[in-house]
Amino acid sequence: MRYFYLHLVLLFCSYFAFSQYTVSGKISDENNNPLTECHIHIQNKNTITQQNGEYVVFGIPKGKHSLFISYIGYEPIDTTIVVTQNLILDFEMKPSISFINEVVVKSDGIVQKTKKETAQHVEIISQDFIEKNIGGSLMQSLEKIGGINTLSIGSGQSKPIIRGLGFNRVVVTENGIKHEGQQWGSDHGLEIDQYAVEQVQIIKGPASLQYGSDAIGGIIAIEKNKIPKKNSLGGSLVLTGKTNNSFFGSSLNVFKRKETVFFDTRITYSGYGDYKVPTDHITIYSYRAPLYKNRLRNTAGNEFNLHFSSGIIKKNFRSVFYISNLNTKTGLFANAHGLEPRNVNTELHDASDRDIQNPSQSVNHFKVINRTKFDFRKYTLEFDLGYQNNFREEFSDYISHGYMPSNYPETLNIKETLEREFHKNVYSFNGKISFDLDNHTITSGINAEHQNNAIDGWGFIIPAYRQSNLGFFLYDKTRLGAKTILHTGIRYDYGTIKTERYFDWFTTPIDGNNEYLQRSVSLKKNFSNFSWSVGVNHNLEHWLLRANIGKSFRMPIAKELASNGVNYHQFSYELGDPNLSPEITYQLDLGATWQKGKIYLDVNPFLNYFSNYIYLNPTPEYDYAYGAGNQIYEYTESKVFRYGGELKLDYQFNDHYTAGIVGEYVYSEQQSGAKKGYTLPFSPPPSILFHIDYSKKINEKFERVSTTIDFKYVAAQNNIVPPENKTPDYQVTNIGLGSDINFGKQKININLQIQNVFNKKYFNHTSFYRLIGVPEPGRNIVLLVKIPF
Amino acid sequence: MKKTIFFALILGFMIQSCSNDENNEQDTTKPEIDLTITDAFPTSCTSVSKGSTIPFKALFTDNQQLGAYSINIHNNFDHHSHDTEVDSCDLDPIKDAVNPWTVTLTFSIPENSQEFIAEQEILIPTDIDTGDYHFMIQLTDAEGWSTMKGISIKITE
Repeated sequence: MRYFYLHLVLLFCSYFAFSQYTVSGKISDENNNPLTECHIHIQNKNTITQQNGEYVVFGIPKGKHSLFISYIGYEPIDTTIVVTQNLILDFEMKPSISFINEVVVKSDGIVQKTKKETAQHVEIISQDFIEKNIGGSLMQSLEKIGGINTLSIGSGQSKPIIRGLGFNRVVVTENGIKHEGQQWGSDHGLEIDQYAVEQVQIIKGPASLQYGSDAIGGIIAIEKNKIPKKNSLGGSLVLTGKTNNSFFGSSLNVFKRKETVFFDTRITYSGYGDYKVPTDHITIYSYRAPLYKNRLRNTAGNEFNLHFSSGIIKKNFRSVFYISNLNTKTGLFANAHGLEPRNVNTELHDASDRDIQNPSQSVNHFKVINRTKFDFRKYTLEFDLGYQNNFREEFSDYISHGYMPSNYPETLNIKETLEREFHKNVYSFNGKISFDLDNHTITSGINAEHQNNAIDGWGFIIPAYRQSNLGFFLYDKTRLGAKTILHTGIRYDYGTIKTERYFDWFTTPIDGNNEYLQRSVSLKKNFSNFSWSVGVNHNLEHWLLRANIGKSFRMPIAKELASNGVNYHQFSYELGDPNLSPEITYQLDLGATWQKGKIYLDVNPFLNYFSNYIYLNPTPEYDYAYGAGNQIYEYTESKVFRYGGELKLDYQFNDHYTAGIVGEYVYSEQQSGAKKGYTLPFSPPPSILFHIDYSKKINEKFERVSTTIDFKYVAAQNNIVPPENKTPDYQVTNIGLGSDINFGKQKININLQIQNVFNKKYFNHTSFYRLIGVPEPGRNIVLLVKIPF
Repeated sequence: MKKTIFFALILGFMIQSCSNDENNEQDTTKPEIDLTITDAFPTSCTSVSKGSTIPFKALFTDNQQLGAYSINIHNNFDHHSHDTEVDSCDLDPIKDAVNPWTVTLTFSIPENSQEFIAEQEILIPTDIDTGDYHFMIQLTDAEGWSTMKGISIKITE
């Protein structure tokens, strides 16, 4: 491998070096351990260090040049060198616990290594990317990435969509444990504190091999992987303000480490008011709901999160506990609950833009995770243990729908404003062993999860249920020579789901009799599945090539198997099908990265086939008794063919200017069933983002000053399926400014963004509020200040 | 390497060929409820008296084929929800329901209709609370597209 890199470096230079001088040396960490695959950049020439930390850059002309060294998790080195002869320069890199300078995502060591050794398309996003692009919630901060879309619920909640697939088709993991909330609901945001995210790794495309069921659209792996350096005490304070929704947020982090023991703690609080949209009214059907001062009535919210982690780090052993509690409360647009127009007491609602009236939702997510790793000479063992408690309440004034009594009965043992409640307990275990055998790296593991779901409230949509999953996998990474890596994996999963019975608490007149309708039955279903994956990496001088083909699956969820309730806010009667089989998908992923001189190109096409995509199909029928006269939406399966991909192109004009393009495209078509020929719901339209970045160190006081201008064009989405609306195309412009400022010894990082600079009125096809015609937020000035100490 | 390029080319062709047969356009038009025809009933803010008959009449249209429709009448004594058509009707003061009227009716539409005039006689019982009511009309087409209208009406003595 070492020779391969040397070879690579030699080749690299022989191509376009008009050789005068050579700069070489060694890069190590503070403990003098060599750092492999550090990225070194001198005068538009790039290289990476070998396994012994050494690097060589040939062909540097005489003169003054800037030198930039980056490695993820370490403070980048940015300096100027004067070349008059061959130079040997050794560098020591310091871990960037307290402060991370901007690291160009594509050019650091781990990313490069991951790209070279993963057959699927992987994006690695660092904390500073999130800080520079901070949005209302994690997924909104990641929207700039090709192939990633968000389903936003107002200004502070969102859920991920990867290449057009979302809900239970995307797995989010935090510190190795699968995050379990109420992924099935379109108004249920992801319960993650974005200030506590240190790194995000996104796999676009099915990846059942690692996490089993649900990872059919992709994985968002969130890591809190920074370990403080020995004998340190430090922290940081992040302050955020936003003009659009009068947002104020702060997150305080304090950490300490002795020799082997450390702790890290964080407290995050944010509060925001109703967000502003560039319109003075919303048209729900033909009813025109006026807005007070452009504010989307009752969309204020707040968030209060606590994190504590502590662990022990030894040479061959590491064990860390992560404990966190997230609490959010958010209001929902008061003039409509779902699609249903609501009469609004404007006096009550418009008195304050920061209060949260009904309808609203409140979520508490508690999590304890232990990650333990044994690093023996010949093999490594890893264990993750997790417990999660998700408690979600949805509040609404009591409104008698269908045959519910007009007045809320005093005898009913449910709070009058509690429409729905979901309460989930999840126990998870992952175990993994990996070892090297000749040119093979073999990993074998087990994943187990048990969850217990209870419901409450006067509205019914899904039954209470219990679910258990168990999976085994075996994965082999074979190095075929220096350039090629072959990946093969196989996995077996077994799952069981048990739903509980539920009866209406009110009667419905059926043929003259008043009956308590049974909404769900006691049902037990078992599922099993074999999944597999074969991939290859072929890494050449300037080309990194990838190909992967695999089969992934998803177990039907309780909602798909056993729904039998009226979603009054969508005027739909949603009916599950207990005979659904596990969703199966086959996907071919190809990928090519080309990096040479000033150009960086990354292309990732995919082909995808679902033999049975589970889909909530709006039928033309109405149901009298169970559906209270609403339209029947039934879960059905259809064959689906999809393709698309992402494109990323960067051109570096010189040391200071870079311009780039990020494009994404997805096409989906149902090939059987009632909606044959139609697309899938929430299909993101094609989009293209142009950006120009400028960065420069001005003086000792203003380091790494940067400016970014983004211009995004999103095409119209006319390819829709009931009950969606067509969404017109739009353009939106964002500006970003950032700098590290040194006040004596104190460093401060400032990031300023102007989102939607021209205050354009546009609609996002994948927004929760799209169906009732609510435009995206208007101009928003976002300021983030980070003070490390 | 060559194999990969070959693969990429094949993929390119597949994408090309697939995008070409997007021509068979899917129906994306919602059906429509028309309450402006002669004798259409109810229209926003109309009054009907207890014991009488609501002469429901509306014109339904769709570009391809209508599906089915449903009617739901429920009280709005608490001013909970809004007429979908007009800003507001004069509502009576908020009051508690004693014996409110709730009725749900579902109807089919003859197959292959692009236009259909729906007419129903809905008898208002005599033993119910008077006051503000909502008259909800929901309509689908054969593809599952739907539309609805919520009309505020008043039931008087």
